Amino acid sequence: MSASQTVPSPNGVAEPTAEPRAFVSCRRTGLVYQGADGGEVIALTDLDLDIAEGEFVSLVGPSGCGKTTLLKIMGDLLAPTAGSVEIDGFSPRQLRERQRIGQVFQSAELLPWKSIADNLVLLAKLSGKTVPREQTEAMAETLGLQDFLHRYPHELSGGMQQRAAIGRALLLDPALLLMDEPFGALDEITREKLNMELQRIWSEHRKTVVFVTHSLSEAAFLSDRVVVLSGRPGRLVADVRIDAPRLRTTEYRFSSEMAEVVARLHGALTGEGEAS
Amino acid sequence: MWVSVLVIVSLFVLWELVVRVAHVPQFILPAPTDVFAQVYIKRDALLRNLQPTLVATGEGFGVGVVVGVGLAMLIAGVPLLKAVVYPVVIATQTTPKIALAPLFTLWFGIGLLPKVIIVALLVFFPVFINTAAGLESVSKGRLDLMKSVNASRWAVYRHIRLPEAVPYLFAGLRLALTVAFIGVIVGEWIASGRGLGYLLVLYNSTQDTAALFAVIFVFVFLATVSFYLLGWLENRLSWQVRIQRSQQS
Ligand SMILES: Nc1ncnc2c1ncn2[C@@H]1O[C@H](COP(=O)(O)OP(=O)(O)OP(=O)(O)O)[C@@H](O)[C@H]1O
Ligand SMILES: [Mg+2]
Repeated sequence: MSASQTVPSPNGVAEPTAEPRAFVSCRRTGLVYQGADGGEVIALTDLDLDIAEGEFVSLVGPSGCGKTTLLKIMGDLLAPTAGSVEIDGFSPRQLRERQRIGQVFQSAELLPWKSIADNLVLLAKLSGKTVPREQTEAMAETLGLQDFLHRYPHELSGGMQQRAAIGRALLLDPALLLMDEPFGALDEITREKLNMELQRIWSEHRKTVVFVTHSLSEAAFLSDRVVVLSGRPGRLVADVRIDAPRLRTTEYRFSSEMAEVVARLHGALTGEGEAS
Repeated sequence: MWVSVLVIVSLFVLWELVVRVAHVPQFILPAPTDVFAQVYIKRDALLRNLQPTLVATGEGFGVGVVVGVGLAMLIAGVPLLKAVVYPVVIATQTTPKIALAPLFTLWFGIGLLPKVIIVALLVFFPVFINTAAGLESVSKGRLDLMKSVNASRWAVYRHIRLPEAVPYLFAGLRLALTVAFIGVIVGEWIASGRGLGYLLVLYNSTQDTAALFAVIFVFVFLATVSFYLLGWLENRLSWQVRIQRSQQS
């Protein structure tokens, strides 16, 4: 059995298989948006989640269930309105102020007036790091962008731009890498290719990654664990561990083993199957 | 470029034909050849009066741009000032500046200064409004990105807001150039004994229509050259033009 699953206990606290020490721990985390018209949107309630250091965790769930919100809370782009989040003993604010959080969004958000090389190093430089040229070049090499360092973002395809955005985050050498649907706008084949590359890069750097996606197969392929959230307001409904060995291959992607994981996630998402 | 030249030449030919065939009297509408002849005949007067007009336009444009950009940068950097600056700006823009021109003569006499002030006042507004809009048109995603590394306000300003504003600035400059020429002519009509605008008044009063058109031709030429200069500058400085160019070719 390569996948095990824990279901939230009646008091709403999920108990993943005994973890040594949580690197990220969310405790009863919640967020209520104050709408412009005075209305409130409960985006997230009572979320308990532990993530171990070096773990690759994906968040899946229906649109609007609060995945982006949770990621923004972890990155201190939003403050939770309830509960707390602790990362490596710090609050998200402290971690952000120490410039140890890497962000990758669905749109690459490269600066069109800077070359790829300048885009890659901008954030690292702003956080006070000196990035030697060899390091930028090595990163570009890893990302397959070595011939594009002196090009500008508009000269790159969407997939290449997204790779640059990932490289930019990695050059920060972050303790926590937050990725919000980074491959959401790409075609299936490009996405699979970038999944492979991301896995390779991740296994080299072993960052703790929280990865939001709508693609169950992407989540199953990349993750050590997939956390399934339910819709509006977001709650944790399933926590699926995937033990398949690294580096996972294309063969694995089409194996019955992964198909089983995907089916399990699908069941949890639709509220059918074991998780409901 | 060649198409524009062709269009202009055809227009001149058409104009010439209409005037010649219909025997339009010269004091109503001179033929282009007559006008060009006048440009040559009056070259001394034109050149002499070109200089003060150029100086007034240049200085007024410079002052207007510096104040417009400066003020826009200021309110983008210190948002508190916005509540102070905007009412003043709106007030200066809703007063009819052209109508104020006689007042400027009263205050500043006849000569360069009132012209420069009129031009600067006209130029200032489009530059200010566009630059301010550019400095504020920052996407949430980019701001989040900067926030994620705890970037200082200055870093956001320098790396995001300023470059973002460059294309807006050039849009403002193009508008400013048009009003600058209007401003300088009006200024010279009212408050000057020199300049191309003054020549217009002079030739009009002597019903020397061909010479009047000669002055207009010089003006149009001047404005066209300035537009090309601005375009050239934009080509070198604006990242957006670089993107557009690469997408066309
Ligand atoms: N700035 C905001 N103001 C008010 N409500 C918001 C705001 N941002 C998000 N919401 C609401 O909060 C809920 C969660 O949004 P969130 O963006 O976290 O969802 P998501 O899971 O990332 O969705 P998707 O998969 O579509 O990206 C949604 O109902 C959304 O309408
Ligand atoms: Mg989202």
